[in-house]
Amino acid sequence: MDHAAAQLEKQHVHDVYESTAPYFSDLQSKAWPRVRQFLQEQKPGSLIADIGCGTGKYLKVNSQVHTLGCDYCAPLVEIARSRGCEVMVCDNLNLPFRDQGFDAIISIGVIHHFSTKQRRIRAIKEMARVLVPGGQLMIYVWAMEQKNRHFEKQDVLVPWNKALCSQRLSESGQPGRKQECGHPERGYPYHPACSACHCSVCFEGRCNSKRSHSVDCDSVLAGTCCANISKEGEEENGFYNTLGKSFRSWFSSRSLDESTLRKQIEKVRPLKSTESWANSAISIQPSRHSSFDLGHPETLSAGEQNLDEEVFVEPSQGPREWLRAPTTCKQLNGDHPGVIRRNGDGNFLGGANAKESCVDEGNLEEGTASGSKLWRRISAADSTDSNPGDAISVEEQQPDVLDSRAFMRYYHVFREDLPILDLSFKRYHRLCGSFSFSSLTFLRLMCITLYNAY
Amino acid sequence: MEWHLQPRKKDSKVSNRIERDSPGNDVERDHSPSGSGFAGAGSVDMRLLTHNLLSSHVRGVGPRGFPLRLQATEVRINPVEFNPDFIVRMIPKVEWAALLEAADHLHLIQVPKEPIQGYEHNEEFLRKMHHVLLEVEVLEGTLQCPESGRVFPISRGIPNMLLSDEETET
Repeated sequence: MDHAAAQLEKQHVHDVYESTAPYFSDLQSKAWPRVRQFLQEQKPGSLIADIGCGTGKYLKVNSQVHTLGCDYCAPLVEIARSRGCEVMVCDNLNLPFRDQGFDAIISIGVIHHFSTKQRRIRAIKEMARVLVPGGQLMIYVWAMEQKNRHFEKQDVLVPWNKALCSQRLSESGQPGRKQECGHPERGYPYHPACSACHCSVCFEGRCNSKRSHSVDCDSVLAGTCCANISKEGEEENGFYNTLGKSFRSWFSSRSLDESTLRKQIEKVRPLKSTESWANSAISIQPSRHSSFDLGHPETLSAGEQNLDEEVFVEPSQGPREWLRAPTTCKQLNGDHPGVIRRNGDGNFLGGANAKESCVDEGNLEEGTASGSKLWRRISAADSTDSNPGDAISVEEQQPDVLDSRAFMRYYHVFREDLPILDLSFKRYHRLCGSFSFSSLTFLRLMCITLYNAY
Repeated sequence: MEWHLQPRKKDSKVSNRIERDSPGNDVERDHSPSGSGFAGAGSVDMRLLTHNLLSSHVRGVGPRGFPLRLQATEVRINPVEFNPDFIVRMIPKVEWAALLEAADHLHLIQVPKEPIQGYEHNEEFLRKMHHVLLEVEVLEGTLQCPESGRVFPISRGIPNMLLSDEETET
């Protein structure tokens, strides 16, 4: 299970940051005030670690202390180094530091990238281990409750699409308009004159457009999006609104938390090409249980279906027939949510088989070409630990064009009922603290300050 | 709208200091003063103060993974503004034996076996420690776990402490 978590993080955290790192090199983003304050409150001569430092935004805030930055992403670390910061490449889960070496630690926008609770706790434990008794740890993560958007799930994938920004850059007739793309705490790239930084909004799972559009947000559609954005935004707050909008687009990610996983996650084979879809034998194994992680297909009732009505479609005929349903596969052509198909006897098709089965052989020419991303939602029928009715989607991606155009970053957003305010570990780890919320204009964050009470 | 951006600081003060303090050194290289109140624009490589914090996290090694054995093929001296107060506060945090060993491996000046009595007011001692802790940078080298033998590379001044998937498997 940890392997699956590592794989998810590799694809939707590490690879994304590595790929997008070049865009951050020219940008110096501002340190968040509370983090800045935290750092400046540390005593002179303190040793401070920024675990997940990115491009080193916080490494020079306080010149009276010695701050070490570390990050998993080597390209980002290189950027930080070039700015005169002392940095290294390491893993939050295995910090290469001796015990109790640091007087203070910051973890800004980091642990929400860990895909299981176990790993998040482990990350915190590691930071506690290297923290002196009485030392303070400040953690910033995305909050689940947001002002301008609504996360329905705690495990989400948020797109960041630089390519489309560039596209809009050339098409835009508004050179004076400044827009932002990307992730706030990562020092998102600054693209002047990009009037619609997120055409990936088009790809929002809930987009109602019936047009099948390819991954390349063509100018027509982009124009539509941009027009909408322009209408809604006030001039001076326009780009905030746009950025806020961009963060409104998100996808459910599969949840790998142990509480929701009952069975081993089957490794889903990525799709190779549409040709292979058409030609490969489609195997349907109704005996395979419904979802990767829980539930038994037969317990899925009509009532549960109501939660995700738009994605569940009853097949008209037997197992093979639904493969040809045109509506379904049109939706699959873009980044619309895919559908879970049931075969005739009411069983879900789980695993890779269902994914392959979602190919509409008849409609391949409709532009599924290599860019489609299939989504499936599976209701958590009888999970005891997750919320009843939680839908757990499985995101499956083709390792090609789409990946390079729509980077999806995984986040586990934190709820208000945070259980980690008093973490007692073995030996000399005991973290106590509090949490509060703070907001950038468009993003609500949870700020957790802990201290080592041992 | 640009609340998040701030301009890069120019480091003209720094270059003067380089010329005054270290005439033989590479004057094109900016430095990043620690504890001096100013942000430099040049790159910074691994310093001995950092090495002093590093420990091997190879599975099963625990505290025997400290200190890492430092070998360097490329080292540079990067002057840093001397801040005595900063050094005084740093001294108690240093694991002295590890520092001695690392300084020895880098063939540095003789480091005192332990902090001198009354070091807080001993400028010569403080300057020496300042030099050893903050001004010696490793560009290329290795860090070896004393227990497992696992080697972590330092390249372009950046230690890479990542373990492979196999090494971290639970």
